[in-house]
Amino acid sequence: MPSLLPRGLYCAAVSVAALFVSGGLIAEVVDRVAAIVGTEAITASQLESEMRLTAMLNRAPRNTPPEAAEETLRRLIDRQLILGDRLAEPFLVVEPEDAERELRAFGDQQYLGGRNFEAALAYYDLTAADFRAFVEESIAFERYVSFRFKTGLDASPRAVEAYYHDVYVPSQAERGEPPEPLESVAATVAEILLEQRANELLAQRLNELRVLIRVEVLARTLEGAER
Amino acid sequence: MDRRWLIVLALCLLAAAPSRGSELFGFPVDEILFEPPLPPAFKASVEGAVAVEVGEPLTPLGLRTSIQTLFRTGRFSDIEADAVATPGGIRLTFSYKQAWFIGEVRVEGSPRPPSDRVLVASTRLRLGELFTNEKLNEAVRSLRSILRMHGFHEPLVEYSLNEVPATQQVDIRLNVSSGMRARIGALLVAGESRPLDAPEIQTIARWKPGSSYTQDRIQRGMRLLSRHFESQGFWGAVIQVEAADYIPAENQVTLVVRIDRGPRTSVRVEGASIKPQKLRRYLPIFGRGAVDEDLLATGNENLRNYFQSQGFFRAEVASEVELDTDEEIVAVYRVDRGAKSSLRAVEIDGNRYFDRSTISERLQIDERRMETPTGRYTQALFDEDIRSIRGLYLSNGFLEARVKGTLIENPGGLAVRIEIDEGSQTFVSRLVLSGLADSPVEEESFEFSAAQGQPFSEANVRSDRERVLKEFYDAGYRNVEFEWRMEPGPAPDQAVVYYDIDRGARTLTGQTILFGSRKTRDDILQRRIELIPGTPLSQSRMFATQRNLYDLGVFSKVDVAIQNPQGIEDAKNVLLHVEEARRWAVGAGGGAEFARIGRNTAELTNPAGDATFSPRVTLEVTRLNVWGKAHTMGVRTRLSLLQQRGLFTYEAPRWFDSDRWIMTVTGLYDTFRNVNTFTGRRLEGAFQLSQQLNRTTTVLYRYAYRRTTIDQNTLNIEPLLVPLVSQPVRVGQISSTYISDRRDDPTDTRTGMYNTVNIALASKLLGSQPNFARLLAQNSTYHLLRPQVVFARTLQLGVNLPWAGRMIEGIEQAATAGRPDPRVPISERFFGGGANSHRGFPYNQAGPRDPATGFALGGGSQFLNSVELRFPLPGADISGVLFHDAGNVYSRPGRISFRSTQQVRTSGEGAKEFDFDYMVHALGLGFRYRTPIGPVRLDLAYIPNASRFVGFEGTREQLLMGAGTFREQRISSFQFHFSLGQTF
Repeated sequence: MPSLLPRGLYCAAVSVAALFVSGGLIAEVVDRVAAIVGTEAITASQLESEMRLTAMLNRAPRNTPPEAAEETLRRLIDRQLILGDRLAEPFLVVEPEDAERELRAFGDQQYLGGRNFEAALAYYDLTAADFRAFVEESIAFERYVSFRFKTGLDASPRAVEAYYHDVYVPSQAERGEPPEPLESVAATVAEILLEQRANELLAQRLNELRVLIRVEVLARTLEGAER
Repeated sequence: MDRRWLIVLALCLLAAAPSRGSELFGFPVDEILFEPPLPPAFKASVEGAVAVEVGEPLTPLGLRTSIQTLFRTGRFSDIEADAVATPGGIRLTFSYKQAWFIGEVRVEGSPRPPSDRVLVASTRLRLGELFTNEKLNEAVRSLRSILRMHGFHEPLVEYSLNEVPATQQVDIRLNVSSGMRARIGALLVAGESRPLDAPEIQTIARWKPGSSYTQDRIQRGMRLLSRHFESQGFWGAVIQVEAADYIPAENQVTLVVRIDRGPRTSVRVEGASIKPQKLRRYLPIFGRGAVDEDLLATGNENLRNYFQSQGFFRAEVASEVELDTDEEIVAVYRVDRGAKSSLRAVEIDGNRYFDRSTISERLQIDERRMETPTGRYTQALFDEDIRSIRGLYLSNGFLEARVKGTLIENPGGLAVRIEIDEGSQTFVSRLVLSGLADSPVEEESFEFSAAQGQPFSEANVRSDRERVLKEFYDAGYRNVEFEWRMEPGPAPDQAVVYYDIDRGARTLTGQTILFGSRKTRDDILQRRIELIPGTPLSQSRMFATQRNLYDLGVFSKVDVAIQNPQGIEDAKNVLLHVEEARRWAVGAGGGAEFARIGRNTAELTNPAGDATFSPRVTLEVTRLNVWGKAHTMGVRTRLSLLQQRGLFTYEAPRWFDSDRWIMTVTGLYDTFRNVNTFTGRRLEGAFQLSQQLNRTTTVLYRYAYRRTTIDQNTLNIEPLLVPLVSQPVRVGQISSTYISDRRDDPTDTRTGMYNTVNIALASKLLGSQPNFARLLAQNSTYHLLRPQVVFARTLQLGVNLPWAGRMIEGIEQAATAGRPDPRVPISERFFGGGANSHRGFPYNQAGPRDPATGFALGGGSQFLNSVELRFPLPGADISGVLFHDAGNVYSRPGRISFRSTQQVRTSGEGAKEFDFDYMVHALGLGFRYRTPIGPVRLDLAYIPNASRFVGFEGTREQLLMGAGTFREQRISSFQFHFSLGQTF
């Protein structure tokens, strides 16, 4: 266009026109506190990220249904409670190389390595940093649960035997398969019993923490508060 | 088109189109705002928490981190980040709801009990913590619950919140409408076993139907029921109020009580006798109403220790259960006391590093002494002593020390032998410190106990740890951590000690928020605050501020707390919540005095005084915090047959704005008859400044103006002199008193020194009629000769020096013959004698006497030297004293004499004239019984050279008429004194 107007003035005019068309400058909510756990905030963007990450781990579609938000937020809150509790055991530190190793193993197993994994991350709108943070938290969580709830646990032979007769044998019968002898599955049964007991203790500790620590859900999405 | 305008265009187009927030990420941030704007109280600390920076692209991670960091400050209850495209980039706005913190909590409207303090505590709303609606609801629930426990079953609790945005505090007022307190109604008995029926329970527990239902009454009733069963041998009775059902229509509570009285417990002791009360104290089976091996063993040990404490050091106790059924338990304790003995000696062998006295002072067992004729020994005490000695060696680097104790036969009794194998001593060859680099606390300031060359011990490390933590807490490092380890050193018996100090983040002092004060002036309070904004948050300064506020004496409660304790902030606000005490205090009391004090009637027969009983009533009214300046005003009255006194005081501490100065104004009205010779009335006003020079030394500066009147009808002296001596006299006097008090315990001193010097000047220039100077000095010292044996001595000297006065005609001659100088009024003279003075005289009976009546005239000087040997007697709280008092009240300063005999001169008419200027000696024995308010004292004194004098037998009228008889009398050679506290 001939220089009827200076270039700067022209651009400004275009901008103002665009703003006028848009109805003015509209502020958008870009993030917010979704839940409070003690002095820690879980943000809405963290929640969304977690939902996409869960979808990626499950190889599910990227757009998860809104109902999944509640379940994901509950999981985030529980994780935050446990991670806060973990601070009482400062020696349970996750080194960066541990996380890196796990990350690489996951990428190799699930996506056959580098490029596929990166493409998957991009598809789910995640970054490597997001995934690494998730892996670090998962390792910390596992270590803490193992230290706090599995140390010293032991499954008695009587309990193993009871499980074998009350649960294992009937389930095999339902499937129409002959049960293995007790001696050959005893170690596996003991492992299951220990896991069950650890889970019970974890649930019990979470209940205690929910009483001790302030937990409040403010919003499950970026769009609105829930109080 | 330049790049900037391209961005503008892009952003505007984005704004124009419906879009997701994430599409704004990546553009540079132009401006960061808070909505509403941040209050100044925490603006600085909060703004620093934002990770997003102006000019940098907005990223989801940066934004998320910012929200989380902001939230961790604890200042927000909700945060939302809004972004909008502007010509300059992205304008980011943090919209927030601010958090509130608990401020003052008040509960009003509830009748007592329970007290307001109990109600406030029950809310568990803690000063400075985050306020939430959940906490408030829980507080209301707790309040209702505790009110129900106290009989208010339909309480209405309403609350009002007062938000103070400047400090983010919310004051909570809980208004209680409690309704009527419920009454105790019917009583139901639950359970199959019903040892008592309902009426019996009501009678024993005093739960009379219709009486007020209070928690105290219910608890007391349960205790009474327990005692009832205990008296019948059921020591393990379980009494429960299972339910307290409220019946609204009748405002009554039906109690449901369950009683399981358990088995009857009885004990038989064979081989020794012991009082039932002691058995109940020493045998735990009584408390439980059950029996097992542990309880029996504990009982054995307790009984053995009891008998050992009585001197049966070889006592053995065995026990067994004779019967153990649901109905009855019978336990038998078999005691073999052995012979009674005494602990003759405590032998200590093998000690080289510590001398015997260092070890002995840690021992609880003790050889026999006068106060403990059998000595002190029990196996439990001995075991503790062995542990204590080993601890002593361990704390000094003897890591392998072994200590063994045995009880052995000794000629005439028993002895204990303590054998010590010290082993080698481990020293610190090197102390390696980490974490102190760039520390604001100087390394040298710690003076570590585990420094190089010092003995190594865990006790030293613990002491170092305490020191490090305290220093760093005071430097604002609230999360400092201290770890240590020890490794073998380069040589045997050497250790390398490592201290790792992790200071953590430093916290500074934010605002100091003081609230709750209603009457006290703010400038008075602000001067007591030692916390300075911007400086490290110091625990010591917080406690010092709390102490300073308590020291004002106007607050019943001073709470100190950190606001927002969980939040992560650079600076923390400190809250000071004060509660003012009641400003008026009224006290009344009664008592009696019993002493040898004159009756002061017209009867002149007994100048030395009679034993007199005088009831006493006191009334005191005090007003605290006068004019909000933490000054105190009070009126104290004391009425007795001997004295009527009214004292007004106004005390202003921290005069000259210094803790070391106190200003006091007093007004006194005093009618006194404690001097046997006359009854006087004194009106006095005084102004005094007290200066505390240091912990032990105080100086008083005083001006006093008084007018003293003598009732001439009570003046028991030569009738011709009565009109002159009874004239009212005005005395204006300045004085200064130096007090140095280095005693370990003023009420019962064992070591130390106490000195006072008082210099006073009464002059016409000060409004005084007489001119005289006064010096009064005291020096007392206390020496601990052995444990519990104290040698104490005191010397008192006082002189009155008159000048430029008028000698009263007619008595000049008498004045020169060993009589007090008449230029000093009788009311200003020295009077001495009594329980706290010279114990060879009754109260105020020392010194010169009137030649006609024999009554004490007071003197111009006094000298008193007392020595005491204070020693223990058998019994825990009883001690004895041997004493010698020497001195007198003398007619004049120049007449002080150490002569022990009283001179007598016979006049030409054959009348005897006694000289009182001689030294009276009193030897005596005293007993002290220790009580919480000081020792109760009885002193018995023998006076070999008691004063003789001529007294008149008859009435004052007879003396005037020339009737009656003059007879030589003497002060009794035996005196007794009963009082409180040591003599000096």
